[in-house]
Amino acid sequence: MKRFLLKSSLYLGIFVLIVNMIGWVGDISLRKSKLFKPSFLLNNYDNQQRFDYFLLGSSRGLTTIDTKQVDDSLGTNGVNLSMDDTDLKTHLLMLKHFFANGYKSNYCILTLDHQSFTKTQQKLGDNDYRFAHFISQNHVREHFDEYETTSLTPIKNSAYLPFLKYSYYNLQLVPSALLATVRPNKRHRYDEAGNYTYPKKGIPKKEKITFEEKVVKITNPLVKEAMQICERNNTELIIYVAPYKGKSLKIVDPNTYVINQSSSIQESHLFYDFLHVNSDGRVVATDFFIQDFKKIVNHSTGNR
Amino acid sequence: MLFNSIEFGVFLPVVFVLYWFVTQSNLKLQNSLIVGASYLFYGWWDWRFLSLIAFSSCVDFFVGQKLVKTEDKGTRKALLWTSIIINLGFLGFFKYFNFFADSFATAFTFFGTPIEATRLNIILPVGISFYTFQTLSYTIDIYKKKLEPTNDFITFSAFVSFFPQLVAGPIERATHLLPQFYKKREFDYQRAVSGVQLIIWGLFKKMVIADNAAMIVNGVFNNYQNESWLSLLIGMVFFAFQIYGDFSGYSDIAIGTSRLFGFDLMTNFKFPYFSKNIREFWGRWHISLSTWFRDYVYIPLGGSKISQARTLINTFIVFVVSGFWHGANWTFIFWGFLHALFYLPMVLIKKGEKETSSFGFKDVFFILINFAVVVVAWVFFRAENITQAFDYLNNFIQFSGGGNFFRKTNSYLIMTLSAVLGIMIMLVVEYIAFRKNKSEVSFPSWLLIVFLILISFLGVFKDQSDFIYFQF
Repeated sequence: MKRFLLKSSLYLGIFVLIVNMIGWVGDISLRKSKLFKPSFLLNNYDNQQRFDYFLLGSSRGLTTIDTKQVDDSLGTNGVNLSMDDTDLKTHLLMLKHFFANGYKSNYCILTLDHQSFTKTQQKLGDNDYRFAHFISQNHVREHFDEYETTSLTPIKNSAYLPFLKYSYYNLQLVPSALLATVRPNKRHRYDEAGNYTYPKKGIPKKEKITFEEKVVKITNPLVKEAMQICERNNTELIIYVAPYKGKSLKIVDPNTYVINQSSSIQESHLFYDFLHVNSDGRVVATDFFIQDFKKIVNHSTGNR
Repeated sequence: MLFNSIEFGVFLPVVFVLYWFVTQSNLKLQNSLIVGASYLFYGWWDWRFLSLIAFSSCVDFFVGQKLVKTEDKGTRKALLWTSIIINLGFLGFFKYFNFFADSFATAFTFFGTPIEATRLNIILPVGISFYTFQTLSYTIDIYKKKLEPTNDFITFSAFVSFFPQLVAGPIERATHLLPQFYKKREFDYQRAVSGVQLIIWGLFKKMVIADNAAMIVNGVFNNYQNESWLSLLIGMVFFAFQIYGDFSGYSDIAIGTSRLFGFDLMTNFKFPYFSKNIREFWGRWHISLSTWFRDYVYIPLGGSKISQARTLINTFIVFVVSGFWHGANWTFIFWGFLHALFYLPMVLIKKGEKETSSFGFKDVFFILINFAVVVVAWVFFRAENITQAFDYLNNFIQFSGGGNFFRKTNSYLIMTLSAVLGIMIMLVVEYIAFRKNKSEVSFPSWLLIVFLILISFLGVFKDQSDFIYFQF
């Protein structure tokens, strides 16, 4: 029995050592790469520089505003930190990540989706694992502490056993870590400023869209938290509502600047689907955004 | 509790320590611990169904006690039928009630009298088909005077509920497993090491092969009308390896776990996909079930002793009943029927052909042909209904174009590659054991670390599937 227990412990020890070394190397590769947005920010931009604005959001933030077009037009310096398949809690995590790593900005543009106006799901987002290799940072650990609900909490515990996240999210993280090792400058579906666009589908029909109107109020406590974080970091929060194909939102009593373009695009050929504009739509939407953003900048500069 | 869960990862070492360090001095205490641990293991899934196992144990223990005390043929027969009716009654109610209700309704409607089937919202107790057959073997063997009944209810309960094989076998014979509970167990280093090897090997087959393949198989079968012939082929072949990895993986973990506690369970799979014909396949696939049917159905029906025609009929019955055992659906019956069709010519042509581990060109050819036949039959096993299975095969043989689910997203492609890598490793490891005429794989201990690393990085931990045979 003694021999069995000793040998089992030895083999288990070697196994734990090897897999954690692999996990540790994977973490380093991902942290030094530009594959996912959290490390793209750190490896593509110097934290001494001050941004004019940075953009947060889901795929609607990622694909609606082209920060290069904004910067060309306004002479600004911005970055798009939106991530697909995320919601407000992950945007908030990115906001914390931005400030925690020493970055500064005049404006934070938070692309808010309709379903996040009042509440956020209390479970981990599908792409939150993209922060996993920063688990040693407090804001990331707190996020997984709050939202990771599986019995093993693999990402949270990967602060001590790095391999856990590569086991649980192996489909996502193992190939990513390999890719990050071989091609550290590879970006996961976004350009050098963090933008992405959906293509035009077939021959688009130029049809007018009919809109369903909704009066809404932003009551999600996470928005308030985002405002407080921005305030502490001398950053103005602007809520941006990207165009919907057929949904017009009237926002009442906003507590901060809001750029509401929910019904600004009225032709169906500028959409990729119900939620996203296509490449042509992005140009139009960005133009609309530039006009509204300019007004806010002028207004807030006048107030200062 | 699943073998591939965190809960089992905690449960097993705790029971192991209690078993060997706390209760070792007292056999009765050790058997009591097994009963307690087994009930906890099963109750983790749904504690309400523990009463079924307890009731089944009580009935068969009581029947066993009574059988040995009487020589009166009528009484003995009545006692035997009491056990059979109660055990099969539970099985029939929980597993087959809705199937029979639907089938009767369909039959009446077909003959012009439309009636509504009365369906019940019944949960199928996990493993009921397995432990029912195991307890039945006890009563039948006592009735046939092949076995002395036990006077110790705890020991008998431990035999019925022994957690490693409670929910998905191997279906043990009382003559083999029960006596092991009478003897004091001594820890055996070699046996424990081989147990750990089997556990890890079983986890590899389940988590790397079966669970990765399952995602692709589900995707292909759910949308088979729009899939290309290549995708349909991958769906079929992957299902063959999914069900093998899943079920034989479970058996390996069960056998391995039992060895850690000083028990030997029967071999359930002996590299079935290296079989050169369907007879050999059935000598290597789910051995505990096929031998159960041989001993308790085929032989009582007369086996091969009466006439050739009767042999054919008996064989046919066993295959169809075996198909039906798997589930309350015509697909399983048809699957059994197909295997009967493939098997019956073997009964007529050759008798007593010995299994060999030769691997020449001719052997490889027959192995591939046999595998193809088995794969086609699996389509019926996996499909929702028989029409869907025929449709699936029809689309495949037309070599139609369509989508390729396995490379629809990067994730599916990675799953496909992980499953293929796992299958290749498995075939190599099993080939080595097969060539050495062994009944199970073995490898140097350092390879365990390699398999654990492969499981860690290629296995499915998120969105795990249940073991397929739990539903049977």
